[in-house]
Amino acid sequence: MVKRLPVRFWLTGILLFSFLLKLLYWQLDLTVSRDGCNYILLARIWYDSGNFRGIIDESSSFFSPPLFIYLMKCLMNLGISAETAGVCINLFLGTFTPLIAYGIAYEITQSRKVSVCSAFLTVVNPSMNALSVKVQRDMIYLFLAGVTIWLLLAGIRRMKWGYWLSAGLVCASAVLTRFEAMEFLLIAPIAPLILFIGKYCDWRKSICFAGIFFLSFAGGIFALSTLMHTNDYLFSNYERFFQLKMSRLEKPFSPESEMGPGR
Amino acid sequence: MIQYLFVRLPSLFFEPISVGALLGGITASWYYRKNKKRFYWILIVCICLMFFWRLSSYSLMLSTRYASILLYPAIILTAWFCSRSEEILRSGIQCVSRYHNQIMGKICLVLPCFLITGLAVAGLIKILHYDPYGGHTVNLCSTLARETAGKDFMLYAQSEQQRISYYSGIDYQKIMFLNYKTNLPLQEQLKSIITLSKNHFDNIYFVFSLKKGDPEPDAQTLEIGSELGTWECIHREITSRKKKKELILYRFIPAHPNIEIWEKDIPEISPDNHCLNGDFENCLAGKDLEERLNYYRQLGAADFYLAPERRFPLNWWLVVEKERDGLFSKISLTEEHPIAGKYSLEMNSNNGANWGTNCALVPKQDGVFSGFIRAESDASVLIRSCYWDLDKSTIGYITDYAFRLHPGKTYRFSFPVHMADVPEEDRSINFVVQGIGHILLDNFELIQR
Repeated sequence: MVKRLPVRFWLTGILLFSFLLKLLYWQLDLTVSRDGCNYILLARIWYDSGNFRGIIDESSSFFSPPLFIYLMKCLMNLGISAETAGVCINLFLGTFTPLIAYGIAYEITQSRKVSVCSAFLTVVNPSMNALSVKVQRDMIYLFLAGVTIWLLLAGIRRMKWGYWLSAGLVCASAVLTRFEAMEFLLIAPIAPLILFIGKYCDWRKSICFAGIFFLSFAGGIFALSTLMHTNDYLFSNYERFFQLKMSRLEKPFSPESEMGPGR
Repeated sequence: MIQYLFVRLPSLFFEPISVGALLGGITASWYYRKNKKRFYWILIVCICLMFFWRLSSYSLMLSTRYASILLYPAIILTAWFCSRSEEILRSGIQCVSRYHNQIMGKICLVLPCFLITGLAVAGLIKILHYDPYGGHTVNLCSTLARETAGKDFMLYAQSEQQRISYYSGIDYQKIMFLNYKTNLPLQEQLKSIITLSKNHFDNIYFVFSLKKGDPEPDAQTLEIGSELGTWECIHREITSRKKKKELILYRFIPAHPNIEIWEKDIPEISPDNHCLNGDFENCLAGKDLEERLNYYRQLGAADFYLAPERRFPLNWWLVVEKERDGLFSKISLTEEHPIAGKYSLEMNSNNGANWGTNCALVPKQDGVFSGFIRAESDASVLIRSCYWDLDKSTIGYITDYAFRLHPGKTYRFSFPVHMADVPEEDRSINFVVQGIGHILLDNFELIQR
């Protein structure tokens, strides 16, 4: 069946189906999530005050990468509410996650059949749909992290520096959405290392790929944080993030750590 | 960790996808075990790294959504397994039996399609199921918004403070945790909050969940008599299809039998009044005034209290303390818009650090202590009856009454005084007035019955 019709036909149909399904799901569950209420409030503060400093003044304990809230604020300039802006961002990006799943699956398996199935299963996955209609950072993170994975896989397969450069830039965006995306800073150099150990490429090329990734990542972080005017906040905040995580790791056997924070 | 691995993660991925991913992972590892291609080891190492660091730090993660990136490999492994299922089934049948007929062949052919369709249908059923009770928080919050509009209140919520604030429009600062850092049962929590808050707010709202079968707090179990206030359920919402839980909104309106808003003319002081200088018309002068000013000088409160226009009442001792901003609370007589007569006592403080206490008097039998207070700002007042120990070193409190006052209103308070509460050897009684905010006091009376 996949061979008879062009893949573009299937993918277009999947994307359309994805969009309609998410739109329908949104109508079935209009309640904003708990975290979403916070993001809406922060976006309003940023929009009303005109700069990020307004958020820090309002809540000195604010502790989150700002890209998602920044995008919400930008959409609010079009006259829509913060809640609608958040949902629109996630709905738009969530519609295209099947395409990312297709891309990743194709890079790995080189099979159109598996790739189209992956895209289809992504559309009908309940978690993907739920995350697409909530005002949360998860869908934008999944989109950006997925694109990072796709570009890294393409870079490994094709051995072209352009993919590594793009992966670094997109990874920077993902890190500015969720801190967990920093795992790619550990994962990305593993690929060139294995390529070198497995003798798929020489050590110069491996170092070049890893170096391009890290440089483009650093450039992306700097460019985006300059665009959002959040330079001072970001660099002090990441330090605070690591200190907090390290302090929790220092108490592995306390009853509180058994329960987990916030429970 | 077991729950995280076998319950929460599969719930995030969607259980059929979790099974498919597991089968796909095992099958792919077996199929490609001798594979020398570059992707094999890179993918194994990266996926293992992403999975195991999340598993090892599961207790630090507040939500399984931190593992959402693993949805991609889970879905791709499932798709791979479904697409290879025909091949797997054929080789399985051939291993088990050499008998291979046309029917089995057709089954193998449609198996991938069947699996994908099954996964899609299961996913769509879960996505498209409509929960008629999904809007319970929104409905409750719309009632809450109507209830609290224009009122003085405090809200205590068990959870969902952010959502309640968002949907009701109530400032997040006015929503307190109902059971913050305590393991007391709900009934005890409610009783404790009502006791502490009843004199500070005109309305106290509570939002909490109750499971089916849990005892519902009512006026009897909370020991709320009519003299304490009224306790009633305003709104209740079922929270899920199983109807095992309800979200309930309760309101408590404290009763204040000892205070009333006074809109009539202020009556003259009774000739039987035992409260010396209760109308504050007599001022300190001469040696008494000098003694008082020396006290303020020693305290370092010269700026306000040593101004020449300042007046202080006779028979009243005004204790002055430093407040949080480093300035002293302001207590003196005022001629500007007094409640009655020429002077009223004016108190202006931010943290209740000021006292105004009457001198000792000797009533011979029970009486009623009353007076008038006008609030110039939102204010809280605590009026206490007490006695000094014989050595005048400690105070024994008999009764205290706390009131919440709103700006622009004049109030009359009154409460009984029982001399039996005072030790026999010290038949005198004092009254202490402690206020937060800007208030005027006048016409204090102690009338014997």
